[in-house]
This record gives sequence, structure tokens and C-alpha cells, in this order.
Amino acid sequence: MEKSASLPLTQAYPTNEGPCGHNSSPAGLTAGRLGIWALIASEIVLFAGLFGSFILMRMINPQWAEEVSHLNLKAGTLNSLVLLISNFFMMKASSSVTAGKANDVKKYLFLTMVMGVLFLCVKAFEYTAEFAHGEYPTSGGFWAFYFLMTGIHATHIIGGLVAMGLLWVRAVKGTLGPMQGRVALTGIYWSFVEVVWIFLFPMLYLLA
Amino acid sequence: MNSNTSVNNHSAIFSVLVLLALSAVGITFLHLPVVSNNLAVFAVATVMAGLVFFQYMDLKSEGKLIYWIMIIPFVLFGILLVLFIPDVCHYSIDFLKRFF
Repeated sequence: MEKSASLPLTQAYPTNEGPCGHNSSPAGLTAGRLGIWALIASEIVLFAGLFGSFILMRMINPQWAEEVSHLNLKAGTLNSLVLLISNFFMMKASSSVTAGKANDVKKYLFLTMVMGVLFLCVKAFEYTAEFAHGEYPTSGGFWAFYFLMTGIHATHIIGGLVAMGLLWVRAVKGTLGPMQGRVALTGIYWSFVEVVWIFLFPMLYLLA
Repeated sequence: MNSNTSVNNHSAIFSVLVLLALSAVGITFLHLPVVSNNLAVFAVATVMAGLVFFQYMDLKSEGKLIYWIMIIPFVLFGILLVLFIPDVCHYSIDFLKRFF
């Protein structure tokens, strides 16, 4: 197998996350790392509010079990696996940055994006089937929650894909070096998007 | 941790996550009582989320500041749930009967 080329600036910028990548807080955290965790904390507030509302509404609406039976469990399971694989590739991309393997960074970022797009395609397939059965966000409480939560999650997937796309373009051009730390930060964000799905999937598809 | 160890670790975590995801789906086919089914499914999801947070997101090697940043939204979530309870009880006496 051909040995991967080293990232040209790996040694020169060991922890660089871009213009704000220096250690800038008293805790010794980079601004990027502090920022991504603060973003995730705010996202937890958003999703926890939605999840909490959904669980309590589900408890007082046992008839929603009938609506759940209209969801496509196979598609939901497939999407869970797709997102797990995608996150695994993202971790490989992040490890490749640490190892200075530029070709692997490109490859794994691309594979992560492919799996992310596949997730969106499966979701689009599910939405299409639900619309065909006359289920819309206005069809009732369950469907309003379903489309809202999965829609917001899909929006986060798209945001992650855009971030990864920008990094991938830089990796292809060979200009990732000064911003290579952002691959790890994007990996943290992408893992959080997976955590959201880890709870969203059982809540919507698996609750009895 | 060197990169080879890291990659092996990620592979092992990935395998465990896939097994847990499939087992969560499998639980629903066991036709357990409602409460047992839901608790089991959420227990599996919590373990999966913990693995991702601590292993993939590397929370285990973060400092105290990050832990405090992460604790605050969970406290807010707890307060939110408590605030919801009177409303839920107002709409459903059956909801109360499940606990008393």
C-alpha cells in the first residue's frame, strides 16, 4: 500500500485551529476547543428541551403508540448504523491529522461526508413515504414533534457537512496545515450530532 | 496516546456501539412490559452516549472547566422537567396514578 504523504505543516502547527488556535484561556484551552464545548452545551439545552417535552407529552398521549407504528424502523436502524460508521470515519480523519497522514485525512473526511449524505437520503426517503401516507407536521402532536426534532437534527447534519466540506477542500488543495486542528473540533461536533441521534432514534422508533 | 492505539481504540468503541445499537432494536422484539422495554432502551442509549462523549469526544481528558460547561445544561434540563410536571399532571390524572 502506498504510504500516506505527511501534512506539510503538522510539525510547525501542532495544535493549530486557525487564527484563534493559540492557548487563549486561563484554563489552557484553545479558543476553538472552548468554543465547540460551549456550542455543544447550548445545543444540549435545545435538544434536552425538545426531548423532555416529547417524553412528557408521550406519557400523557398513549395513543401516540399507533402513530409510532407508521414509522419505518428499518430505515431508522439503517440511519443509526450509517451515522455510527460516519462518526468512525471522522475519528479516523482526526487520528490521521495527529499522525500527519494527509492522504488519509482527505479520504476519511470524504467518506464521512458520503455517509452523512447517505443519512440525509434515507431521511428524505422516510419523509417522502410519510408524506405519501398523508402524515405532515400538521397531522397531530406526534408528527409535529417528529418532523421538528428530525428536521433540526438533519439541519445539524447539513451544518456538519458544510464544515467538513470546507476542511476537505483545504485538504485537497494542501492548505489544511494551518487549520488542521479544526478537523478534531469538527469531529467533536459530529460526535455530538451522533449522540443526539442515539437518543432521538429510541425515543421516536423504539419506545413501547 | 499514540495514533495506532487511538485508531485501535476507536475501532473497538465502534464495534461496541454497533452491537449496542442493534441490541436496542432487538430489545423491542422481546415484547417486554412497557416500563421495562423503555428503561432498557434508554439504558442502552445512555451507555452509547457515554461512550461517544468520553471516548470519541475525548471528554475524559478535558479539564474541569469543560465538565462545568457540560453540567450546566443538564441542571437546566432537570429544572425544566420539574417545571413540566404540574402541567402534565393537570392534563392527566392517569399520569399521577403511574407513580402513586
